[in-house]
Amino acid sequence: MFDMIVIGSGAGGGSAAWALATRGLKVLVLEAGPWFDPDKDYSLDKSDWEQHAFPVKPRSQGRYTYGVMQKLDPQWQDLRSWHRDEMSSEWPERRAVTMGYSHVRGVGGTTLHYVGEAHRMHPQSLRLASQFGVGADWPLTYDELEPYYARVEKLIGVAGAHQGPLGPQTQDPSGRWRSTAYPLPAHRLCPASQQLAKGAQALGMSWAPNPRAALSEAYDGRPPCNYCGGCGKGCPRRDKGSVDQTFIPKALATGRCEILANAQVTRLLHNRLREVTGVEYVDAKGRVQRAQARGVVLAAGAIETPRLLLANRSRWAPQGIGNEHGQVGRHFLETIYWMSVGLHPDRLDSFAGLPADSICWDHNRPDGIPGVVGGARFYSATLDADLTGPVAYATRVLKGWGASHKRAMREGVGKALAVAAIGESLPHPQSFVDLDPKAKDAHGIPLARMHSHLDDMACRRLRFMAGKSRDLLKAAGVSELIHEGGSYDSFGSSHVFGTCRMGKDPKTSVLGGDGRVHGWQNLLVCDASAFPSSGGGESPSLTIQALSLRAVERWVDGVR
Amino acid sequence: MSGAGLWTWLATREALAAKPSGRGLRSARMPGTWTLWLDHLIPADEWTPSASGLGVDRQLWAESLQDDAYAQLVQFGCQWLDRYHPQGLAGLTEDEREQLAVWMSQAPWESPQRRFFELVRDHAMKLYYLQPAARRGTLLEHPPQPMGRAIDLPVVMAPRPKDPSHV
Repeated sequence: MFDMIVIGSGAGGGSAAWALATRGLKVLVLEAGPWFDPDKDYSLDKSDWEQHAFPVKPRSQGRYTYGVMQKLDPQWQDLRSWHRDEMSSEWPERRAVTMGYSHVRGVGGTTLHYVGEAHRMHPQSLRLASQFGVGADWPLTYDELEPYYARVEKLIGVAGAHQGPLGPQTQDPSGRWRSTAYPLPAHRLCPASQQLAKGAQALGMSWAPNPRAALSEAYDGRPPCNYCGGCGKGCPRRDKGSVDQTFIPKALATGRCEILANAQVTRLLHNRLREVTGVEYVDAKGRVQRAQARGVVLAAGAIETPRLLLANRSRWAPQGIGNEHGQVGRHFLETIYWMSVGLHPDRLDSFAGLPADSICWDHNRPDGIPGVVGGARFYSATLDADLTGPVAYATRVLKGWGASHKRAMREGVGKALAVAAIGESLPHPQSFVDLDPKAKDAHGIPLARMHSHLDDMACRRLRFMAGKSRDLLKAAGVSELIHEGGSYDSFGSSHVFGTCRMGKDPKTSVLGGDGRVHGWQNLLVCDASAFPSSGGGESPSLTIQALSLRAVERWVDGVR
Repeated sequence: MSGAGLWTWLATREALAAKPSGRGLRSARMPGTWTLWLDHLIPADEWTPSASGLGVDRQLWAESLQDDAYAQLVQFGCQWLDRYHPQGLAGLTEDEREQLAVWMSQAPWESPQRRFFELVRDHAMKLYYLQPAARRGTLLEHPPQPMGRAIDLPVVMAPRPKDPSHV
C-alpha cells in the first residue's frame, strides 16, 4: 500500500513525486516509457550525430490519432509553409499533421527532449476571461504561484537575467515580479542571438536572455553547459534541468519513492464514494498488476490524462471520471507557432550556443498584438531549427553541387539565422481531445484523438508573428529567406494544454484551483491539461512544476 | 504552350522514352555512371575526398536497392545520363556533365530528372557529410560533444559591396 501513486514522470509527475516523498509519503511512480541513460542513449558525441534525433526506444512513443483537419482558407495564403528549394504546383487543401504531438515517454517525460525554457506565466494571461472576454480565468493568481516558481527555479537551476528590484510592487521588463533573483546568472548570448539583438534594437524591440533550465555555472553537482546546441537530442552532460536530472534523483534519495518504468496504467480503480483506490497497470513484462494507494496524481500530459479519465467509465462515473459535465478533453490548446529561417552574409557560427537563449517579451501580454486578443513571444531559433551541422546546411540551406558547393560549405556553415514565435492558443469548440472510436492500443484502451481548429483570430495572430519574424531577420541583416512554416497549414504541438482545465465552476472545468478533480477527494491532476489558458507563448514546464508543488502540498496538508 | 508547360512536356517525353523495365533491379550491379555522377556532384578537392572516396556511391546504391521506386528512379537516372554519348556519361567532358546537372536542377519539379537530381543529391550530401573526413576545413570537424562549441569567436564579416554614395 502506497500513500500516493503518481502516473507519469515528466514535469508534473516528477515534481509531484519529489514533493510527496520529501513530505514523508511513500510514493509509487508509474511511467509508461523507459529509462534513458545519457551516457549510452544520447548521440551528440558520435561522429554521425546529425542523423540522430532524440532516441526512440521501445515504449518511448505513444500512439495517437487525429481528427480531420480543417480546410485551408485562401485569405491566409501568405502563412503557408514554404522552402526556397522545394516548389510544387500542388498545394494541400487541408491543414496537415506534420510533426503531430511531439513528446517523449520515459522517466523525465518530454523534459528529456525539451530545450529547457523556464518561463513564468504573464500575470495578465491568467485573467483572459475577466479582462479580455475570451477563454477562461485561472482560479489562482500570479501572486499565489510566485513562491512556487521561485522554489522550482532553485531546485532545477534556472539561469536568467533580472533587472530592477525584487518584490510584488515591482515588475521586470517582461511584466512579472520576482521575490528572488535567478539562482544562476544568465547565459552569454551566442553569436546568432547577438546578431538578432542588433536587429531588435534597430526595430525598437527588446531582446533579452531567455530564462533557461540549463546551467550557466556548476550547480547542485552538475557541470555548466558547454553550448553544443543539442539540447533537443538529449543532454549527455546533465546540465539541462530535465526532470530525470533534478526532481527524480532527489525523490529517489528520500528512500520513499519507487519508480516503475515501462508500466502502462490502464485503469483507475475507484468506488462509489468517488474515491480512487489504486490503479491497474501492465508492467514491463506484460503482466497485469494492481497497486493500492490513498490517492493518485495523474500527470500523463494533456493528451493521455484526459484519455485515461474518459476511458475509465463505470456505473459511478458513466461518462468517465471527472466528466459529469462533458468537460474532460474540451478546450484543447495547442502550440501556435511560426518560424522564419534566412541566410546572413556574415559567418555567425550560429551552430553554437544554447537553443532559444534569447527572447522578446514585448508582445507577450494578452493585449500585446494590435487588434487581437492573445500575445506571442519571439526567440532565437537557429538551433531549434536543427541547423547545427553540415548535413543540415548541405541539404536545407546551401544549394548547388561540385567544387563551388564545397567552398560554399566551408564558408557558409554558421550563416543561417532563424527567428520563431509562439503565440496564445485560445479555446475553440472544434479543438478537443476525445477517444478514437476505432483505434485501440495493445491493451484494448481507445487511443486519444486530437481535433484542432484555427479560427480567424489565430490566423491574425500568426500573421503578426510571421511579419515580425521577417522584420527581425531583415533588420538583423539576413539577405535571403530560405524557409518558413507555421501552424496555419501544419499541426505540430510540443506544448499542449487545457483538456482538464482548472476553474471554480464544475460545469465549465474539470479541476478545482487546488488541482483536484471536482467531486473526487483524492485524485489530482498535475500537468498542463490543468491550464485554463496557454499564455502568450510561454513554455509550460516551469508552471506545471509550480502548480504541481502547490497542488500536492495543499493536498498533503489537507489530509493531515 | 507556356515555357513551363513545354519543359514539363519535354521532361515527361524524355522519361517515357528512357523508362526502365524495373526487372532485375535488386541484382543490378552498380554502374560506373553512378559513381561518375556522384563524384561530379561531390568531387575531391585539396581538403576532402570525393563522394566515392568515402564510399558514398556504394552505400547509396545499396540503400536505393531497398526500395523499388527509388531503385527504379536511380536506374532511370543512370540510363538518362548515359544517353548523350556512345560511351555514356564517361564519354562526356566535365563541362558537358555540368550542363546536364544544370539542366536537371532546373527541370520541372514533377519531372523524373528533377526528382532524381534532388533526391540523389540530398541523399549523397547526407551520407557524405556524416563522415568526419568530409568535414575537414569546416568549423564542424568534431561532433558537438564532449568538447562543446565556442561562442566567443568574433563574427567573420563578409566583404560588402562598396556604397556608391561614399565614392
